[in-house]
Amino acid sequence: MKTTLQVINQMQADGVIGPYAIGGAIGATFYLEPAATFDIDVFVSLQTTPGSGLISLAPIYNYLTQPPRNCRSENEFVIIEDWPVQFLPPGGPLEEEALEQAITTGVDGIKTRVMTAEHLVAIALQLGRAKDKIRITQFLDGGVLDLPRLEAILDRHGLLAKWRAFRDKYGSE
Amino acid sequence: MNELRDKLVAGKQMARRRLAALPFAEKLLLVERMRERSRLIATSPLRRAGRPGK
Repeated sequence: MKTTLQVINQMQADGVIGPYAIGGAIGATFYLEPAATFDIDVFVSLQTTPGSGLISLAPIYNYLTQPPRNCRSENEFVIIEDWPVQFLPPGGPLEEEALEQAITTGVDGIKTRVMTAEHLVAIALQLGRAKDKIRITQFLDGGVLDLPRLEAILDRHGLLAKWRAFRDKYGSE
Repeated sequence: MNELRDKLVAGKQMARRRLAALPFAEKLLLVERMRERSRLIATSPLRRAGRPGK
């Protein structure tokens, strides 16, 4: 995984991508106990194609799949050093904010950026799949959340009612 | 029975907190190991053979 992060950092240094932030299960692992996952979710701001306004992943795919990197692409993933990586443009204001406010950390001296725990929970709440609900309860049980900060994020993004319903249903102190 | 259950739950919570407190690099190593194990299980001939009696 370290080499994967180095490749992503190099992409940024080469100007292929801007600042990025790791989300999903790997992002959650920064705060919680490790969880099994098969891929890495990398949120990244992408340039729109000139003249069309469409977001294009082509520069990323071209950079990674051509020599000297020769990474393989598989469905929505690019396999970087044996790890399937999914590059995701922010899907809305919440993910844009999560990308902007991500924290910088290190993995054995390799710099990387991870979304804050509060943004990971807000995104999980917005997505609302079964695995997202489980992750939210793990964050709550783990005591790693700054609840006033989380509520401010949820309020900004219109998720407070959903949050209250979640807490009523799944309980927590 | 409830006492035993509470003890088990408390033990799991402690283990989770201990794992969560590890440095990120160490946790990523554990994620990699879990992924390898899942792959091994998925490709195991035992799994491919199906469950006994089926």
